[in-house]
Amino acid sequence: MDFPQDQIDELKKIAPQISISEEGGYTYIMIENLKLPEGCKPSEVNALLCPALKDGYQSSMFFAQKIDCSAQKDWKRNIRVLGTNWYALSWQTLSGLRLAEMLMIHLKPFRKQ
Amino acid sequence: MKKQKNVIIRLPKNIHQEMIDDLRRQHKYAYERVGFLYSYTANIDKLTTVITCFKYEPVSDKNYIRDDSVGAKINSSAIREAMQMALTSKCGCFHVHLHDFEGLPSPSRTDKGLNAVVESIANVASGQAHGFLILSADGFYANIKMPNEKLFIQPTQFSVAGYPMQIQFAKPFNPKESKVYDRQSFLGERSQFLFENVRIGVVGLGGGGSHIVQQLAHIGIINTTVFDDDKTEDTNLNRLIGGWFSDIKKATLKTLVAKRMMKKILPNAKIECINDKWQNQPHLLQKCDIVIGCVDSYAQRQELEAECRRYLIPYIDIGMDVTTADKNAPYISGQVVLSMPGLPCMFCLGFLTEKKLGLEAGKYGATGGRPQVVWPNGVLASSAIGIMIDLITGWSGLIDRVVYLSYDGNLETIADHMRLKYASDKCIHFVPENTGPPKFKKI
Repeated sequence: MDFPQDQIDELKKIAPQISISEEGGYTYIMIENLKLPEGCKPSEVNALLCPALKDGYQSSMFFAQKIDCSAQKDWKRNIRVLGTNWYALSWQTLSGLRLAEMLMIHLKPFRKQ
Repeated sequence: MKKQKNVIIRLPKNIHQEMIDDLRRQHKYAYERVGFLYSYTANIDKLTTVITCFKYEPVSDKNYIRDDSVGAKINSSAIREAMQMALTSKCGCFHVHLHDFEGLPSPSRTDKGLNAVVESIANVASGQAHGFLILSADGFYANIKMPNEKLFIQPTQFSVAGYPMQIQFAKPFNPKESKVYDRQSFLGERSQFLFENVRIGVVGLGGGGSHIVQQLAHIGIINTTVFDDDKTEDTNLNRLIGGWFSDIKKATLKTLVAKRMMKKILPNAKIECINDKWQNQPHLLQKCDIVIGCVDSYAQRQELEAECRRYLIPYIDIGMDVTTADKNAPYISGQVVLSMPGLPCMFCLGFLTEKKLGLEAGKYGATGGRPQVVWPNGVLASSAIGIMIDLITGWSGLIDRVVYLSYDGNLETIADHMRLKYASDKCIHFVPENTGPPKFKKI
């Protein structure tokens, strides 16, 4: 899957270290050292964005480790992909979002309410 | 004493066939042809390296040098092209030629000179294994320069993933006299030797998996790796082969139930019991020659298939379900699917779909408590074992078979699934370049 350059540029402003990889017909965007919202532990984490429909979710964000933040989270979407075990919340987004929008929406549950 | 390293070369059948076909073409003046096979190297653990091959490139006609003293001589452009590919793709590279006869090939005096070519290529992609490979009609020889090693070594195993597989071990074939396997000798002269040397992985040791491991032991499969993080419960005993009533009270690990049963049948079996999810010990799965999945959810199947494809491992999936609609009688159904690298995957075959995965994810993967009975699991497991045996031995003579069997547990029939008619012959989801450890491209 190719992503529009303007969307990649936009995403890089938030997360500069990005790369792509494919597995099983899905394209994933690997985000290294993604800065998490204030109060999260750790404060940075590697994450994997799947911008397409997968397992009923319009887009998915997987994290290399579970994240501690102000509220308790249900880490119910654990997955092994691209040779790594990832953790995710059950968090739905709308379809047709730009990559940066997807990222921000997936980070929303980690922000202080 | 330093333990010998296991080096396994795996390639999909379509690439193997492409090499043989290409190397058999006549050249205008060279007696033989040469090509380059590209691969990725995965150090699975301290003692095991798996080399997965993903692409073959013939040497073009113009890059041969006329020299009657050797079978084929190629020029520096051909070698530069191979080096360029190894450099840009950060991959391994094998010089390949064919000794077109049956039996194991061995290097000639001039072939040994190929080490110098290999050294040159190794200089540009040092993290990968490189070497030269000699094919015969039904065998292999390779000399490999492993990353960060000075000496060349020979691999311990070659494996061509196809129906049937072609598996060659470095250790010599020693036919053994044994009455135990007399009645299955029709599987081929080498069958018992292969059963003693392959490694079969079984994921899930419940209703399906417990039948599988029992049959593996009866057949004489020595090396197995079994994965299950579960303990025996009262609701398991209606279908857990080898499970005892006392296991409920003791909450015996399912891996131990499997091991206990297998060892009673085959005392010299070497069973690696993993009381954990395979995802937490993936290297143990990656070492297997064939994996049989007896798992509950579609998501688990998807992950298992992806891991197996990456390491060019044939994956056999079984599963059963009981559905009830209104006033109708319950309906028992099931499937046996073979996901063979290079051939259609479970998505291509229509067995896995986004809809099924989505519905399952909506329930957070909860699959427990579904109706399960012993006999359908037995039918499905037996069919899976039959396919596994055919893959290893090729006894049936069937070639390039795509397997998607559908089980009707009410009529007690098992037949090709109707979706097979509409399946493409190639997989669009798992591409050859994505074999081996994952690779990320900066954007």
